[in-house]
Amino acid sequence: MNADTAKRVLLVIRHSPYGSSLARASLDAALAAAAFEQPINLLFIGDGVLQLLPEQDAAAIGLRNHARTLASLPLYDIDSVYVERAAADRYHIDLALAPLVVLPLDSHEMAALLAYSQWVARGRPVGVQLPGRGFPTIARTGAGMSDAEIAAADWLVGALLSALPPSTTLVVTADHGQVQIDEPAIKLPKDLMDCVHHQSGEGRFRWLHARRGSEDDLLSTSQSLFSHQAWVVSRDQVIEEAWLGPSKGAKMSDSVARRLGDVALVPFADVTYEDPLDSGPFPLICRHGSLTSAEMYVPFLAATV
Amino acid sequence: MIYSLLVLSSPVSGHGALTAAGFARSAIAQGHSIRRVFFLDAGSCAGSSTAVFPQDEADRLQPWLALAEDHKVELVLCISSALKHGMLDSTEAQRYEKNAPTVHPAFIVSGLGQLVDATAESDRIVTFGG
Repeated sequence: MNADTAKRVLLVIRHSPYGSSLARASLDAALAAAAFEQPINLLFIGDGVLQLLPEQDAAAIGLRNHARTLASLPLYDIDSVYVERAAADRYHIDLALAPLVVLPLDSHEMAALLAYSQWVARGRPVGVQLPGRGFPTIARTGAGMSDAEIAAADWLVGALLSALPPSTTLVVTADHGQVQIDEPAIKLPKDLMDCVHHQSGEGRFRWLHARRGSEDDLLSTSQSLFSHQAWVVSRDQVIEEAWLGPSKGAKMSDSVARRLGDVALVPFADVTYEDPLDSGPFPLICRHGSLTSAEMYVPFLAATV
Repeated sequence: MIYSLLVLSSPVSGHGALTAAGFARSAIAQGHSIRRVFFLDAGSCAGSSTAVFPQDEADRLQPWLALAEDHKVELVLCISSALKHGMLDSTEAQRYEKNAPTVHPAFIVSGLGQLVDATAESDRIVTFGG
């Protein structure tokens, strides 16, 4: 049994400390796992939270002090200990005084922990290891989707299908695709920006709004700068060719047309255009695909249970 | 799929232990395998060779013996639970100077490490009772 590749087991504990021998048995099982260097997490739920009462004295009933055993768990590297917050509240247990450090969880966090533990116990790929709030974050490994991401998505769809009632159809699709942009966003040069009043859109569908009187200069300068990597088009062309709908020949409403800029930079190459007012501290790697097939052709998969 | 079972239910209270044996038989019939059955806490009484059951109740030992005999299913009683419940194999009976063993020889008396090992080596642990 190798600790590096071992499954991380979640032991769910739901019995009060002295009402039966099960509380003791569960801690014995946890200690045995630790002795064999098998990673184990604990989750106290329901009456199990009574095990966390701060002051326990079992001498008069001839049993071992349960709190003392709990306090020893961190010595065996059992340090991911979770508690159902609502149960602790129900019994007015002050978790700050519990025999060991515990992390209270709300119900949605418990659901995530249980799902994640099942995920890990089944040997599914993970990008982050417990401890912590266990959500299956998948690490990025190079270009495109990693095997881990694909396996993770596949698992999620499978789990959803298995939970659906009969004759339900599940459709998996997307609102758009995306492309990977490794280069930093392109800064628009000063002679172009001299024609620009402001920008709108996004990095791969960048609208330039001209200063009054600079509309023609803006279009010609943009075309000379970027035609090798982007469709550089005027507002009129976008409307005329019905890029944004409605159908060709139909009239775009004025309220929509007014929102468009004068020139659109729509790259077909893997580049993106910077707007200093639309940039955060972290550069985006995955971007909209503008009008490329990567953006426009999305999968549509359906399965009926 | 490889299953291991953790039986916490007493064989004489409720149906958890009998359900566990039924699960094991059914899983094997469907092509799965049972790596190990680990009996902990009151579940350890399942190995009793001296318990006697009324004629109109199901025998609690026979289903396990059949699994061990027909399918070589490994039956392990937790040693600390077993001792507390008076479940002694011949080694333990001698060690503690008791008159006779009380555990059926189809069962092994061993430590919780057997549960840890079963957890590591199986696709699923299914718990009965507790």
